[in-house]
Amino acid sequence: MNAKEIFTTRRIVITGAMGSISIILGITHLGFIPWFAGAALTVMHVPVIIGAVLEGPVVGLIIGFIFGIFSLIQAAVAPTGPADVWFVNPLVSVFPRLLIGPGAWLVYNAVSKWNRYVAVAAAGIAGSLINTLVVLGMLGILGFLPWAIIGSIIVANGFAEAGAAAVLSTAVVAAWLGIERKKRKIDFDENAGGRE
Amino acid sequence: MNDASFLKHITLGQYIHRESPIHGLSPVTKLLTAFVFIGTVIAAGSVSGLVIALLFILTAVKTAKISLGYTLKGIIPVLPFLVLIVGIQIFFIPKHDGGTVWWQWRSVVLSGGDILIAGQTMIRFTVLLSCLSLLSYTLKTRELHYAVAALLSPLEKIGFPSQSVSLIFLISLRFVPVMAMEADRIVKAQSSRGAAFDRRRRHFLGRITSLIPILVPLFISALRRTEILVTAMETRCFDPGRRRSSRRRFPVRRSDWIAAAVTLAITAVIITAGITRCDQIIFYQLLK
Repeated sequence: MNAKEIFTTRRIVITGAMGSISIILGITHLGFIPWFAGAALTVMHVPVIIGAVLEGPVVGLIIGFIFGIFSLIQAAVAPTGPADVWFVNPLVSVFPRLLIGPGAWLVYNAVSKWNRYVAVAAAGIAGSLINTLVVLGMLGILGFLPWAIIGSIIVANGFAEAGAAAVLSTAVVAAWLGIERKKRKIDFDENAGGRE
Repeated sequence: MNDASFLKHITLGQYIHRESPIHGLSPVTKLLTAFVFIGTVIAAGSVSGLVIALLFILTAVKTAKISLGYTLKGIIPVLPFLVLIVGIQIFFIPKHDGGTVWWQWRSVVLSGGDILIAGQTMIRFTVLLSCLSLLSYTLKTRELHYAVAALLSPLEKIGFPSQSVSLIFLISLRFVPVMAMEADRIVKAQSSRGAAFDRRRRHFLGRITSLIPILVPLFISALRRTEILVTAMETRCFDPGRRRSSRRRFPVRRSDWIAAAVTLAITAVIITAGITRCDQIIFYQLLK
């Protein structure tokens, strides 16, 4: 496949839209769920997973890149806690996020032969765990955090985040595929609020 | 829910129209010099270098005919975190610079090196914020699209779709205010239907499920908008593989070379100041 076949108009637009949702979830703090000990779970990577499931690994890769660049800018310009100092480093904020989309797509592709919705949930879990493991792995490799603390963060945050990502991405993809099926019956202008 | 109005949080991508030499530069120059400058400032390891960077960026803001107070106002909401971060750096992270210890309480140590580090953090943050603000004040989204496409175009020889990728960035930036408005509307609509967004009290599963009535409609609305946009683009015969020309062109003028040369000179000074560690020397001289 060459670049021309990968970048259809639909893929370009969906990538842009999912990238903007990731940015919105970050700016408005809608994408954060308060969690014990002052830490927050994030669902900012869910657009990456949904993009990868709907349109493939390259779309997931680019949405991940937008997410990563944005979290770098946000960490530098509007830090919400001491941990944001580490995310100014692109090895922590950008590189791990590139892997979410392709990883989620691989899992989705493997499981979807069996059941499509289970596959979306599995992709959500896989993408989320890749995010947690690689980000914390980078923090460990760069020597910001000792490995013992990293292990406990994975247990405390990683699994809950994976669950949240699985629930959300399944709900969105199921709703969207359901809408696609009965698309012609819906009056777009009334329901989508497409006109301002 | 108090933070229902999301639009007030969004200052990203704000463009201020002025007739100034900086606005007149080619978009490629603006983006490239900003990248080089930001990279240098992140890597800079000396207070004196960062002070030079601060003076330089404030001069640039003035040259762009934008008020300094407006630019620096963006720091105020971030100030509490900044003070916290600086506090942690000063008191809890030990620095092995062999400097004089001024004050000690158990493991909490205040030394000369701490003051330098704290100053660096504060100034570096101010410079980064001013530089990003200046970039967004002087660069229209259309110009950003042009600059990204132009900078990525050498990669086209190895088959990289630079036009498509820069279009993706443009779309995601353009979608941000639209989707923020949409999120605002969804939160208000769901609250008026009695949805409770008090996410602190409930158990974990309740917190996740309370997000579903906001996030699922937000995603669905974004996907619907993409359908509309795709139809609109395809009816106008948009072909992603074809090379596009742009109505406005931005030729590289002499002012672009001057701006690039000045930025490079300043980065060279900042890097030299970092290597020679001149501010440590000055600082300890002043202490004596």
